[in-house]
Amino acid sequence: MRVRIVLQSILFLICMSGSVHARELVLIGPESLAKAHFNKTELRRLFLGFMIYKNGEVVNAFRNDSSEKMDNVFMQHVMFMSRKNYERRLLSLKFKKGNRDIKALDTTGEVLSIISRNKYSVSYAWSDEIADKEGIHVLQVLWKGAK
Amino acid sequence: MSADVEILIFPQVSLFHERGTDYSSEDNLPSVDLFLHGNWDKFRFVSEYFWSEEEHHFERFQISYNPGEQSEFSLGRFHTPFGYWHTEYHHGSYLQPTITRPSIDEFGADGGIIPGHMLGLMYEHTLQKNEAGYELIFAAGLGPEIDAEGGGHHGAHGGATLHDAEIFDFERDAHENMYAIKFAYKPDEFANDQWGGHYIQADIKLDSTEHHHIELEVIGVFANLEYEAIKLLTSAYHIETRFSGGSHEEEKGRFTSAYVQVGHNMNEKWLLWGRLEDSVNDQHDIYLETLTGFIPERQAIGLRYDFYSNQALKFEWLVNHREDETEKLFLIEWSAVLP
Repeated sequence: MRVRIVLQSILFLICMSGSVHARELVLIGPESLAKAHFNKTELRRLFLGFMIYKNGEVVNAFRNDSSEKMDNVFMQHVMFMSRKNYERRLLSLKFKKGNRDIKALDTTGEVLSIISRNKYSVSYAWSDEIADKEGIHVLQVLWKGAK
Repeated sequence: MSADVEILIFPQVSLFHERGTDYSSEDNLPSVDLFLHGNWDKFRFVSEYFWSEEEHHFERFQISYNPGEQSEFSLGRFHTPFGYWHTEYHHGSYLQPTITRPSIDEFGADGGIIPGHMLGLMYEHTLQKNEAGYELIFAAGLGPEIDAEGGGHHGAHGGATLHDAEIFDFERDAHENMYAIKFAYKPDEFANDQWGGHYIQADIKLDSTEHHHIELEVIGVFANLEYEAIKLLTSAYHIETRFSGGSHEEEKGRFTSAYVQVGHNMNEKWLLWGRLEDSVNDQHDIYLETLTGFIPERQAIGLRYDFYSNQALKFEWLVNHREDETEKLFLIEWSAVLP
């Protein structure tokens, strides 16, 4: 009985530690896009500079370059390409069709500042870094996994 | 909403040497392609200005409007929508895998026989179905005139060349109507695989006592396929012309030209490639006797080395076969994109 309680306690602690170390990459935007949803294709087109419309307005996208881990998750799980291929394709589309440049911002703070000032802009961040930030809405979860 | 403007600079320096001749400073060809683009709300602007020691002008100058995600109207000077190479690669050499373009895809000023630019209106419609994309493009406008003295970026073998209508400096009477339609299918919109076809019809004035007018028709198909490190690009064009007016009777010509290019990405930095180009019924074709810059048969092999994430060094060996001569060329090119 005592061994069973100890084993169950250990199992409980293992499960708790797993959820404590899980992390979410979320798509964020202002109030005007709070009810917008982007499917997988729209997200890829958006971050390659194509015109994507929500509520009849063109949406602007910004990349969050604040951490290598975030960049890897974004490239692998949202864009489905390597960073090098992404930059090459972005350059090619700009030159071929005049697609808009996707600016990369160095800190999540800059990202939040841009989003709060631009009515139809989106970017992404770790959910734990933007909790309760005024004017910033989580539009959807892009990825969930271990830290 | 503020406008979003960016400038890109594509410099390049090419050196070419023909086997059996002496090296000359004229074999050194520096040039730069200035690219400016901007986005504001549903509008887009593209401007591409090419400069070399021999000439400089606007290659592209177009304003586009997107009424929705799937469609776009463009007005100005733009690339004629045809083929894979001509649509994917413009004048900044850094972005294309090789130094030379396939002869059938060459720009008019460099000996090309298909009008590379139009001055007019273009409509593009893209349909997405899951990951796949279907593209349809219509264009109508003014086509080229014949430049009897030739020249252009590299002299184009000394003969007459096509001179596309310029955006700011052209004589309306010298240019006649031209139409183009292109369709393409991409199994995965975000990958490079695609195949499709095109049709072009152009009326070209000819300043000659024998004939005054050329009616040009081009039908073509293309496919670009990539599997892991291997790239395969192939295109075929069928060209028909009708020469009329003037002192001579009407004359017609038709020939077909095609190429296959295979590339192998040996690693992230090195690309090895080879290309075969050939034509049938090209001998004594009246259109090719008017525009003599076209190379009907060619074998090419080359290497590309990428470094510093924005620069490339390319090497190329060519054997060009014309009706009356064969030339062997070696080319080196440094190209980059800035900033």
